[in-house]
Amino acid sequence: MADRFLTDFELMVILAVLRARDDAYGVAIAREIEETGGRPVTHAAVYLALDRLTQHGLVTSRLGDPTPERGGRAKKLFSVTPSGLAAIRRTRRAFMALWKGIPELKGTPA
Amino acid sequence: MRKMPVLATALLLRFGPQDDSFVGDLAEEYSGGRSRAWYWRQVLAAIALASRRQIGAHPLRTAMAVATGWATLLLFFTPADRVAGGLAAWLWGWDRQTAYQTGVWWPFAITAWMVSYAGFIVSAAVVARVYRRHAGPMLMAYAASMLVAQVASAVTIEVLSRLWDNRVPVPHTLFYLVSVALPYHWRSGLVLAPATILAAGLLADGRSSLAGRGRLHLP
Repeated sequence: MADRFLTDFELMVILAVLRARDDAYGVAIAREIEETGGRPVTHAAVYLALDRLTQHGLVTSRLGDPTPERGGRAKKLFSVTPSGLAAIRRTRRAFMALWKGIPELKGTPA
Repeated sequence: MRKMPVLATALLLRFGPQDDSFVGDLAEEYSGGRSRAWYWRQVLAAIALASRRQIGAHPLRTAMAVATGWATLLLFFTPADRVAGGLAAWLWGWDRQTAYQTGVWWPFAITAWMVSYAGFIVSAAVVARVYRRHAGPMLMAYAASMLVAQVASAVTIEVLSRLWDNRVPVPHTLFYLVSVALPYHWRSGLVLAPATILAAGLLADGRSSLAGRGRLHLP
């Protein structure tokens, strides 16, 4: 999937994974998107996007330790693969190229 | 630990994404002070997304499951007239011929309602059993088809009854399907029929696949 572009939501999710660093699990990722990105999300939508990104080899996951406040269930911790980083850069280039030269958007903060 | 809403959690485990970590995330958020409404919203969104994904990924299986439900339902409704009439006669001494003269139909209306819902329950149980490994999304698809059928039949009968002066011939097998969506049942079937299918399917399957793997830790 070397040439895959990310959807806007996938881009938000994968950036949130990077921002959450070593603690990138569902709750932290959703919180990053809501608080930093300003977009309300459901956990299910985040998981679905993460599942898709995992299938395409753009993120990987591993299980953490179970904790009592999670009802004994383990966290699934995500990290971005080199292919994922490449997809982010590719998508950013595409967005920026489309962004340039639109008079209506001139001077609009990115 | 704060007790999670039992019904929402049961629905999530049965119909939601089969992912223990996801359930753990919701448990953590709820323990951290999120409201019941938030939890329900998350559960319903998870069920809708998981079902849509399964249905989209397996359209043939979904079509077969829906066809299985409808075939069972129509088969069940074939002798329904005799069953409902017989039940009304046994319980209240009701008689169809007399009813045409006296206009007393309430005993039959009650037993017909019972037969209708028995059909929904049995057909949902069959779908849940036949498609055991994918019962959640298949039941959702069957329930959705029921909702569409109920709405379509209610609208059609409404239109036809205006055109034909309140005389709409409905085949007896279909009567048990459409009657619950008619005004004299307050159109309750529009909500209750799909809800009954989901609840009956849930009970028929009798367990969550997570629970089946011994990973269910309901607080």
